[in-house]
Amino acid sequence: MENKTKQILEDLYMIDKKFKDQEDDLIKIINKLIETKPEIKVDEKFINELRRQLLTRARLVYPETSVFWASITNLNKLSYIAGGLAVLILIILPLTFNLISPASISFEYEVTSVEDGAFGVLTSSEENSSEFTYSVGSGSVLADNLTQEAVSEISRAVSSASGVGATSALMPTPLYEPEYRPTYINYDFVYEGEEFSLEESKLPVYKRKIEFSVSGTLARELSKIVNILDFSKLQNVVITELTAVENKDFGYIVRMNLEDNTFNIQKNWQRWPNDYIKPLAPCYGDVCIMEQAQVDPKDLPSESETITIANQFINKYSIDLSAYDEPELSENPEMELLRYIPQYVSVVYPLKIENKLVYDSIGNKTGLTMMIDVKEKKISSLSNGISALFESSNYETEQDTKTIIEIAKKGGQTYFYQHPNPTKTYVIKLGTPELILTEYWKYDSNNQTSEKLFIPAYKFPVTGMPEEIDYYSNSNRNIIVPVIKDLLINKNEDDPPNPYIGFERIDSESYDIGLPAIAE
Amino acid sequence: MPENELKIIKGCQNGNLEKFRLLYDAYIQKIYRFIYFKTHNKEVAEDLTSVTFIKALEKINKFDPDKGSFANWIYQIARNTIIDHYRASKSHLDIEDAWDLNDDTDIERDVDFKDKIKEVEQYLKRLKPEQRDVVIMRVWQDMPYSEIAKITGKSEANSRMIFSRAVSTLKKDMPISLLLYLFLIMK
Repeated sequence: MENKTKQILEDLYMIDKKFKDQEDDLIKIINKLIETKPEIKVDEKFINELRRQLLTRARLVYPETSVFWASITNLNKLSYIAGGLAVLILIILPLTFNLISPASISFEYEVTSVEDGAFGVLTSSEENSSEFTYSVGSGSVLADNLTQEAVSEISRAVSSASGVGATSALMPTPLYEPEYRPTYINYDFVYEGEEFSLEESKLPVYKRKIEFSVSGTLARELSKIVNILDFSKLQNVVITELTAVENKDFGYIVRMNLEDNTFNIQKNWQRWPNDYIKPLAPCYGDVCIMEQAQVDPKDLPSESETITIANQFINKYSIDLSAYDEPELSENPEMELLRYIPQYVSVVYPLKIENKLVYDSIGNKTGLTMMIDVKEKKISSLSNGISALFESSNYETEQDTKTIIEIAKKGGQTYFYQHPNPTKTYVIKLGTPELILTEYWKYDSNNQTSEKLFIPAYKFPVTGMPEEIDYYSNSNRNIIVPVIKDLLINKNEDDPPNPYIGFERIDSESYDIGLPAIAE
Repeated sequence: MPENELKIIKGCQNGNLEKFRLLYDAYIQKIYRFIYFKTHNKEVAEDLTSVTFIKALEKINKFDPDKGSFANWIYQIARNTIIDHYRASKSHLDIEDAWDLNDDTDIERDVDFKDKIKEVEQYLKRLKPEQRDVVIMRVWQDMPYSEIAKITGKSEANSRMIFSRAVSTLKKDMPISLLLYLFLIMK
């Protein structure tokens, strides 16, 4: 009996036990009626539009306040005591607060809508010039035309890069008896989800809005204080980075990048205990072999303890979480695979833009990330802090779900190479997708710059896979397919995807590469 | 009330109204569904949801956490907005939502809702507005009694009692299949 049916029955029995006499009939009716349950879906466009209206109204009701300084002064709680730079910041901040209150970097969340297609062609400029075209059929033309020699080249490169020192079956004359041979692994993605549809012909793509005004103003103020050189002789000066050091036990170092409006916090190594790194053996002169002491499993905090530590840090330093979802523990492959108790555990506050969670290209939630020192039960670092000002611009979507599914079957954004003669093929089952945002780097080869965009995409959950697979079990449980047409039609690649090459141990007798056996 | 929610509300009351979007994101789905189930029409539900949140934004300074939860407060705004809507269009002073309209009243409804609810409608209309709210929240919105209690401003036990009385009322008049149907579509 399904849980839902059970719950409904229990609800009824709690109200009147006489219902129990008719249980068989009830189950039949319930199961039949479950199938006809109506769904009410709140229109996302309506939600987004009302949110925009409310934000506009909020500004009318209460005039805009400068939130940058609130954000910075929140970080000031870290007691900037030591270091000339830290002192400098304390001098500059009040000065600039009085002088330039309109200039601000907001670390609070805001989305501003701009005209459709405002971010230009989304594919990277190098991709545009490539002849490689993403096809929905059996694979790319270029990939299909890969010769065995080309595969061999890739194989050598991978073997070499992996450091395994394996001898490929395609490589001639091994010098030593090989212990491993390459296995060419294909992933066969099978869609087993329900039918789905995309109603919107256009969806917003998001880009972070970067403010530069503060860095210029800070430079002007700095020139009034620092006399090591005549700042007035420098033109168009901006301050790009600020570092504040908290000089106390368990202190922190705060780094703010004013160019891209990001910040991160790290422990001040000099003021944290370091007794879990010990010499493995007596040191010889300056040479020591250090060993990182294993963390005692009993020191490992529970999930709720870990989240509490992270939340306490957030609250203490008043870090704004308007753009983030509830925190969760990041998966830790070390712990699962190697049975190793790590010194740090990681908590992520997933980034959420207009109610859509952001995932990286391989389908993991991404956002504000904190490392917790297991032994000290303290935050060791915070990374990926960003100003959450975004611009949104609508782009045409791919509404043909068959096309989307076909791309998912190729591995989506990860896009796996299909070897013509695989050693192994693993079947990966995919479930019904969910609309999310995914990070996408748009590279401009002319300016040699990259900018991160947040693209609407379908996240296909991996619902089933063979137990022996290690690749998917710990890192990639979702397949991501962007839904913006630009990125699908013009999905170009400079290089074809590399074949996924694993290595399996073999004995010499079974290792047949068509060469005479090496005599002992 | 969750500590974080109280912090956001205090932030709004101190002038940082942009934080209101956090409350909006937390409540938009619930409030929309609550209004939809009481109006049976997508456009009307969207309009009244907009009015509810705009009122909440503009009156956030008047919210007093000592007098009840934010959930209770915003649902009350939604409830009053629905009543105002029907009072403005009909001269029937006791109207609380579309369930209270007379059978011959010409009300535009969504096709899906109309088809699914046609049979149980006559029974739901016999409930008191308070009972109907609890039934809607418990079964259609799948809320636990603890949350219903916060919204209604009553105790958890009292909310359970209201629900069981509502079901008893329905059981008297409804055939078993319709009662189950009600439960299922509400789940």
